[in-house]
Amino acid sequence: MRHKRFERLLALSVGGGLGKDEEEELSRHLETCDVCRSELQKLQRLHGFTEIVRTGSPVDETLLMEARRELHTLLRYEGRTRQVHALGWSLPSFAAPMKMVLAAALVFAVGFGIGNFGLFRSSQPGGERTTAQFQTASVRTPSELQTKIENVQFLDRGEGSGVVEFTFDAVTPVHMRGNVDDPKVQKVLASALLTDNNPGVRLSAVNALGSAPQLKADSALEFALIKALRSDPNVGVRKQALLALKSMPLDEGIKQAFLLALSKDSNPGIRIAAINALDVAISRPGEIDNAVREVLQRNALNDKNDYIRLKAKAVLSERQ
Amino acid sequence: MDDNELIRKAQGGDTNAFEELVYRHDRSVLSIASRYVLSADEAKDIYQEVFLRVYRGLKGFRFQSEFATWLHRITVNVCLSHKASNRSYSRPRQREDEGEDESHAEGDVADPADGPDATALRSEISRRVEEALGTLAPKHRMVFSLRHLEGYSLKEIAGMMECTEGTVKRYLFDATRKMRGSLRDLT
Repeated sequence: MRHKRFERLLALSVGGGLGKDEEEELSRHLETCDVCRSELQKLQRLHGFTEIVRTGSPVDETLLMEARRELHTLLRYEGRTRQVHALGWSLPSFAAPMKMVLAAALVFAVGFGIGNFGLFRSSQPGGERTTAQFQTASVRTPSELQTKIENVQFLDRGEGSGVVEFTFDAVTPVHMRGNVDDPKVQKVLASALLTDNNPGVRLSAVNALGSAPQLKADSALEFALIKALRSDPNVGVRKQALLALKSMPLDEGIKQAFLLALSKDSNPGIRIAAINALDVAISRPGEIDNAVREVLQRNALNDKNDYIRLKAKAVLSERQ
Repeated sequence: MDDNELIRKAQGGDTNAFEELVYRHDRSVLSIASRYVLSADEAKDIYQEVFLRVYRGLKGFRFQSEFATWLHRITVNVCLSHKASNRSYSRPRQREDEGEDESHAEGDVADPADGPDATALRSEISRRVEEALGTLAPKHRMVFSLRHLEGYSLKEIAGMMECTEGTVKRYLFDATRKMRGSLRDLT
């Protein structure tokens, strides 16, 4: 099309993206230009197609419920593991340097409190020992301060009012030693698996979880492992998450995670581990439901890996 | 109770208020995410990332914009950064119920209202449009779907993407041209 400016106006006109002046300018042009009228018709058809998509796919209620449920679990983790404390206090008449000193002292005190009495304080009565032992950093003087203050965000800088308000992350080193069977240890490892940016840390966390003789049914732990299997970018983490899930009692969520890995994961090693896990989990004839059958049939026909195709056929024929 | 009251309560640590805030606005977040990535699992990942960021940043919310505007800005940012960090983007975009090797039918598609197979035609058109959307660059895809699938104004989109309306128009024009090219056999 020759009319560069009108080409742009036409593209914006469908769906009402033009101002009044531009619309009038375009209308005048369309009265005299067959090429642009034809182009407009094509763009209107395109807009019609997008209308079909728009009206045809409202938010899936089931998906929304799942997303809310998973968010709820994530927020529980977030609340436990993130040591963020908001402070607001009033310093009505101090000069700025004094406010800084007091702020530092208060940060120090809060860090000390978090380190010693925060996340890992035993909730068991009478000081009863658990299998996990925690040693928080000791803080005696400012030079030995080990609590890192990060991500300070000022809500009110106190200019003129004498009131400062800010949030920050207080990160305290914690020494932890315990058995991998201990739910406290597992919760920390599961949290690292979900949130740590370093793939080496995530791998170590999931390896440690997988080394437990048998993981007990725990919805938060299961969620972390399923999420890692589903979406961790590191193939080693996904594989270890799958193996850890194998040692948990099979439920619908784990079964769906295995099926998703078998049908969607791009790595053949994960798909092989998934079909082997399903083979073990679904041990008796007649236990294959429609969802499992459908995925196995698809893999038996279409998987690029020879072993998976053969295995899928074998599982189908043995368990029908 | 309006959004601002819920936000103030949530800022004070009231998790019920935070959840109420989520439930008021999460449909639009999931809708934008679903348009952008198509896969249900990825849409859920985006949904969770968005609300985790909101949860972490809510204490810094200063009521200088509408909560919905702030939320949608975060949603757009999470969507646009999703590609770089998520392996599943390397896979061909496809619906959950389609086989990997299935190829789409070529040829003219009649007006879906005319024929007896209207549902099948609408489904096919939707699939072709979504497939064409999948070929667009991330910002083009985001602008096109916010405008034509979610119905936001150019001004609203500019606010969400933190750019000028002129930039939005340029993205929209480029996206429309590419969509036209991809769906040439239909238009």
